[in-house]
Formats: sequence, C-alpha cells, structure tokens
Amino acid sequence: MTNLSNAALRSLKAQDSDATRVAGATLPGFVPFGAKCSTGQQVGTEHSADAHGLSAHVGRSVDPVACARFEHAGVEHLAASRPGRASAFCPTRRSLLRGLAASAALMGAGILAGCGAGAGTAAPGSASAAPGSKLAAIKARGQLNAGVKKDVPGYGYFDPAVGTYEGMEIDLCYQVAAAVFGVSYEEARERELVAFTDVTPKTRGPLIDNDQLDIVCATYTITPERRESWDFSSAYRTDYVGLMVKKRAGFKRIADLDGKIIGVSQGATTQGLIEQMLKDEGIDATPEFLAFSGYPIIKSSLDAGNIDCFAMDRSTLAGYMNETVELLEPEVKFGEQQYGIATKKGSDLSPVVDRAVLDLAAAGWLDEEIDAWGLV
Amino acid sequence: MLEGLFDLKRWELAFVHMDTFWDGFGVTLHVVVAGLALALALGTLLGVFSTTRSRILRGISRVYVEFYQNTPLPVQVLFMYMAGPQFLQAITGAPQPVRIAPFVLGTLGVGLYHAAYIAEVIRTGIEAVPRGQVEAAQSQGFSRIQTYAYIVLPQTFKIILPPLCNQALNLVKNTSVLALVAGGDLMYRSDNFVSLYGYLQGYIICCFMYFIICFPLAMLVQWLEKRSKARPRAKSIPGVTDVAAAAGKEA
Repeated sequence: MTNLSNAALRSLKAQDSDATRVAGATLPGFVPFGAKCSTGQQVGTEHSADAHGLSAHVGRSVDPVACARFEHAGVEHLAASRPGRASAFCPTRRSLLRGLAASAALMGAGILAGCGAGAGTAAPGSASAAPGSKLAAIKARGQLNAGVKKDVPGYGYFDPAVGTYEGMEIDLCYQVAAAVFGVSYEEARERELVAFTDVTPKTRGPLIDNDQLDIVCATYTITPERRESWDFSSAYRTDYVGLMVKKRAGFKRIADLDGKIIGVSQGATTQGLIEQMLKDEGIDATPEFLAFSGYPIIKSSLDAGNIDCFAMDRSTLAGYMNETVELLEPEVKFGEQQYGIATKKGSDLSPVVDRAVLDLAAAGWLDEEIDAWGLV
Repeated sequence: MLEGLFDLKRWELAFVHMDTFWDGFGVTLHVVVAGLALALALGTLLGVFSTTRSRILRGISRVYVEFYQNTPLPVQVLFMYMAGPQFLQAITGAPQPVRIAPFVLGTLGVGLYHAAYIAEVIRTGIEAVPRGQVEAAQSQGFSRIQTYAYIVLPQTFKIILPPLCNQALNLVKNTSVLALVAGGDLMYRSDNFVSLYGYLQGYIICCFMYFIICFPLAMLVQWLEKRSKARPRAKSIPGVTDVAAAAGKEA
C-alpha cells in the first residue's frame, strides 16, 4: 500500500467514526426512514447499524464492491432487528436532518475511500518511501514510473484503439529507462521497463513529490519557479506559440490578422507573447484578444467562426489539428518554451536523466524523433 | 487566499484596472436595457396571447413558454453562439460565417429567456382579475381593447409588480452568461482579472457593480408598488365617461 492510500484510509476511518457517532445517536428515530429511502440515506443507516463491523471491514479493504455488499447486508440486518417499526414510524424533522447530515458525511468518506483506492492502484509498484537512492528503488522495482500526456499527439498520446502510449516523449521515457537499467533502447521497449501514468498540469508536480512517479515527461515547461521545487533535465524540445487559423479564412501572413479576433486561454501569457512578437517582427497589426476559460471552447469558437485565430503552445494546438485548420506562418517562431524532464529535487536520478538527454541530443536522436513525429 | 482580500496593494492594483471593469459595466448595462425591453414587449404579447380565446395564439404562447422555461439559459446562449454564425452564413450566402455581436447575443439570450417568464407573470396577473370586472366593463359599453386598457391591465399591474421585479433583477444577473462566450460584459472582465492576477478583489468589485444596477431597479419597483396602492383618480375615457356624463346631465 502506498503512502497516499494509507493516508486516505486513515482519514476514511476517522471520518467514519465521526459519522457513525452522529448516526448512532439518532438511530431510533432515523432507522425506518433510511431503510425505505434512497441509496444515499441507506448508506448512512446501515453504517450506523453496525459501526464496529464497518471499521473492521474498512481496515481489510476499500474495494467498493465489497463495501456495497456489506451495506446491503446491513440493511437486512437492520430490518430484521426492528421488525414492525419500519413502515409505521414517521421520523421527526430534526432526526431526519441529523440523519441526512450523517449520511452526507458517510458519502463523503466513501468518495475518499474511492480516491484512495484509485490512487493506490495507479502506481502499484511504487516503492514504500525510500529516502535513500531513487535509482536503487527503481531497479528493485524493475520499472520506471513515468508521467506523460495522453492527449498531445506527437508528444504523449494514448491511442485507445491500440491501448498504448505513443509520441516523442514516450520514446524519450524508454531512453531514460534504458539509461537507468543499463540496457539498450530496444531492450527497454521490449521488456516494457516503463510504466506510464497520464498527468495533467495540476497533478504532475504532486505525483513526483509523493514518489508515485519517478520522472515526468509531459510538455513540462522549465521555469525558474518550478526549478525551485523540482529538478529539470536539459531541454529536450523547444516549443513555440502557434497561431491556428481556419483554411477557409484564407489568411496568408500574420499581418492579415489586423483587426481580427484571437482567442487565448484565460490566465495565460499568450497575449503578451503575441504582442511582443508583432513588435519584434515589425508587423503592423493590432488584433483583438478574447480570453476563454478552456481550450475546447476556443476551438469550437474557431470552428463556429466567432474568432479568427486560436493562439496557444504548438504542442497543445497539435491536439486540435485537423484538415480544416492550419498554423499561420509556422516559420515565425516566438514565445519560446523549453520542455524538460522533471525529477524529484535532489534525487540521484536527476543527473542520470540529464546525462541521457544530453547524450541523445548530441547523438542527433532528438532531432530524428522531432522529424519522425512531424513536430513543428 | 483569504488574507489577500485585505491586502491594500491588491486593492490598489484592482482599482488601477477600474476602467476595464467600467467598460464591462457599460456592456452589461446596455444588454440589460435592451434585454429588458425585449423581454417586456415579447412577454406582454405572449401573456395576452395565452388569455385570448384563439387556440392558435394560446398554442404559440404555450409552446414558447414551455420551451424557454424548461431549458437552461447557458445552453441556449452557447447554442446561438456556436450555431449562429454558420446559420446566418447559410441564410445570407456570405463568404464567411456572419458573427453575432456579443450585445445582440446577450440581448436575445436574456430577452427571449425572460420573455417566457414574464409571459407567465402577465398571464397569471390577467387571470387574477375577476371575470366579473370584464363583464361589468362590457356592460358599461367598453370595447374589448378599452376593457383591457382601462379595467383589466391597471388591476393586473398591481398584482404583477413584485414578480415582474423579480424577473428584471434575475435578468440583470443572468446577463453574466455572456462571460461564457467571452462577451466582454462585467462578469467576463472580472473573471479575466481574477484569473490573470489571482486576486479575488475582482469578484468583489463585480458584485458591487451588479448591485449598482439591481438596487435602484428594486427601489424603483418598490416606489411603483407604493404608488399603485394609492386611490385611483377618475379618468376621462372617450366614448364612455363623456357619454355617461351627458346621460347624467340629461337625467
């Protein structure tokens, strides 16, 4: 069991005992109501009916199916123990409220349990808090745990048809695994020495911190602030901001965007980067900027014709590429971002990863990959 | 996060961006005025439709009201936003999709949506006036339109003022749906401010500005309500009062 799921279990137990206390106090008034009402309320009653049974059960496992089975058993037990009252009793308003509160608390605990179990299974082989050598831990485990993107074609993309990850960053993870285990790249692929987990901007940092992942190779831009929290390898890829436009609009040059509407993501620095580029390139164009709350709505606005251009990192834009859109003047490169592989701060894995990236760059492998995946 | 709310520097920065907020305020105010006008006009028409004897008019009103009452406003607005430009392109045959200005989108969005509610308010208001009032008016020689204008609607007015006020205030707040489609309204500007700087001051200013619009509106309705409770004065109605006066003189 990993640290995380242990913690989740502990908090689950704590919440459970609280909730059962509340429910237990209202048991006489509450039982019949819960017994014939919706699922959420049933959960509350059943747990309260057999509090010690529940905590014993939670201690054993957090399998949701088992939980459900247990709850079901609880209801029968309950009904049997209070025959005759189940249908005749009418709960007071206060007992009803208290019962609802208790069941809400229990449902919350149930959700927590689900999360804990999920996070635990996400990295089944992760080592139990080895403060010493990260390298030794990986070797002992036999697999490198890598966090990658699953929705950025060319970088990290999970192909649901085949059920595997593919892209430049996936290949790079195998290269890192090869370096760690001291085998060839082909062998690393063949023996599947990498266990992939998909990450989002929100999860990639924390998953390194709690040792669920050894490396994160997921269009992770190197910034001074992030360097303070994690180790980054040398950059394996430089990405730029891209300007996605509809082919039917017939834009030829960036100057054509004068007076047009560019959609950007809220809170992103894209607008400033574009304005800087226009100044640097001496392009006389003043487009209007609209900020949206997420990428999908920017893309659908572009498709609908409400905006003329979708500006974002090219790696992100790649996920929205199709035959109706194109990048406007891709040879104009601006808004440079360096992608690096992140590892735990100060771990002995960091220099190995950096060495691997530098060697691959020197050998020309990175350039080959960029060509092979058609990255612009 | 919370201690930041009392950080003077953050407030200072927020006030530096006040112009943006006022711009958004202007957009919202325009949408409110136009949307309220549309909602009142269409709502009154549909409300009267649903009290007429014509089955067709009643049917139109019913279908409209049920459709708009039972679908969410954000979905309606997003649909108009996404489908509108290409729909207009197909109709007009323009070479590029025809954009709908955020002002028009907002006005149509909240106007059409609240028209349905206002229609219901008007309908219940009219139905609340006892049938005998109409019969009495007609027995006194009022035409149908005069009956509505002088007898039914003034009494309706008193009844519907509070729920109508509710609708108007909700309409003001519902214009924030424009933020979903980057409509440049008050909510959009403050949301942008908050996501750019991470300062919640933006939302507080936003609330305050919505309050500036809503509070006077609520006050106005309260005043109207008070006024409508005052004793009505006699009116001169052509074809009715003058005839009655003449008849009185003769007698």
